[in-house]
Amino acid sequence: MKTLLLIASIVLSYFSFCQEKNSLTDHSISADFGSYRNKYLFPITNITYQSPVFSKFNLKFSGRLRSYGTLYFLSNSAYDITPILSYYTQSEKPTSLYFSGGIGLDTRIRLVNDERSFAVSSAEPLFALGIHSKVKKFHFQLPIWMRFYSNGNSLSILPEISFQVADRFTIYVRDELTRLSIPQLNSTELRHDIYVGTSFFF
Amino acid sequence: MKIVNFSLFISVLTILSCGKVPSEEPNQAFEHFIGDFEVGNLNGFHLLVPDTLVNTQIVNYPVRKGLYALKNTLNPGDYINNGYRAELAIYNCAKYKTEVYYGFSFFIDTAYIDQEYNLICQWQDLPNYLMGEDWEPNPVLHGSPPPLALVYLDGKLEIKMNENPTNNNSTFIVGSPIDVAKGTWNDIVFHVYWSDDDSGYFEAWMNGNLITPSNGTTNRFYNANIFNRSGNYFKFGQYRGKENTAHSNTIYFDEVKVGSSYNEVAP
Repeated sequence: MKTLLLIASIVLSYFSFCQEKNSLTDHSISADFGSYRNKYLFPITNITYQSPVFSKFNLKFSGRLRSYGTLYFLSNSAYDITPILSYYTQSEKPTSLYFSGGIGLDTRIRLVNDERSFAVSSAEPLFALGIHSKVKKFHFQLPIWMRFYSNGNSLSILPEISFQVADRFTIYVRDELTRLSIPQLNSTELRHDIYVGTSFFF
Repeated sequence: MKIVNFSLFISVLTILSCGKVPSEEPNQAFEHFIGDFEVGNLNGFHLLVPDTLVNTQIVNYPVRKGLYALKNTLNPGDYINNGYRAELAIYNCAKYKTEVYYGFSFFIDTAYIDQEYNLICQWQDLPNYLMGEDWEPNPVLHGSPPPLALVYLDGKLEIKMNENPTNNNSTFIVGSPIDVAKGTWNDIVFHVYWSDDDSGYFEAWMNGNLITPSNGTTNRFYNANIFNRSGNYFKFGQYRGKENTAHSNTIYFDEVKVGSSYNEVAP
């Protein structure tokens, strides 16, 4: 344990002396954990990779791998894989206001083997819009995701606030509020998850 | 033209979508069930018992109707699936926004001597499978009492509810405890509308008499009765949670039914 802490300290110290990185010009890996959904505790882990904006086309790729039922990433119950290709109005330096829009795929992999479960694996198209703002060491984001299903749709808002703790590291809190809708049955459901995590830029 | 293009775009996205909205649909069909033990076995039930030969015996005395009933025995140390229990379960009969009737008869053995709580039936919540949940998250979470249960406690019967899935101390009794004599059959019927909001309700009868309190117009007790839209599942038998029983206790069951009307399930 002491060795791990020592290595972590050396790595953190090394990166602390580097030039400040940002989400537009650098690669990033993020890991976050959700523990509170709707009214109860439930562990969820996300690992997200984001590419820098490819400045010629202002395009950026992100891929999120989510595991359910664990804080240690390897899950026996369920995963989501969500790749998104987005266009950004800003390509070099985050400003106080910029926007993004993209398309992606939301893939649900459900592994539960229980007669009482009717969860199935599938993939749906996803349409994403985002408002972003960088003020000093704070970065605010408000992505909106729309998913389209064969019998309805869902709308998610994912407000996130991150704080640059070192040149290559941020910590953040993200709220995820999703409204699922089946218009034919006049049925809607609200879901709420909260995550805390850290991003590493390279 | 732009509206047409947008509609076309949405249509294409919908066609590309292969799955349904991961949210339970209301008013789905549920499984009707007859468990009168007349076939002489426990087919159709899901067993949560340490030893079927010891905990769940088919007997021909006492019986409520027909030739056979179930002798359900819980012995000290009968621990399975994180609790002291000897239970039989019926799946897919308490779905989101469905209206269901449940009926069964029970007979407290005259030799029953424990004075602690014992759940003789319960409607247990389920993980929200569509949201990726399963029974055993890591780290393990502590379970909470079921949303609705019938509890035998020191010669009385209590209807208990729980509306807080994260707390063990949020249960409450609906109505008043009812005296239950040992050595006689008692018929129970529950009529439940399963919902995660205040439109959920239940009413219950014992030996043909309503045992839920009047709300002024009916005896339906309105309260959310599922923790999430996966709904619940039905179990009966004996359940002592984390508290071991001090004695071997027996309760007989007969005429366990799930259906769409009082007459379909009443013993």
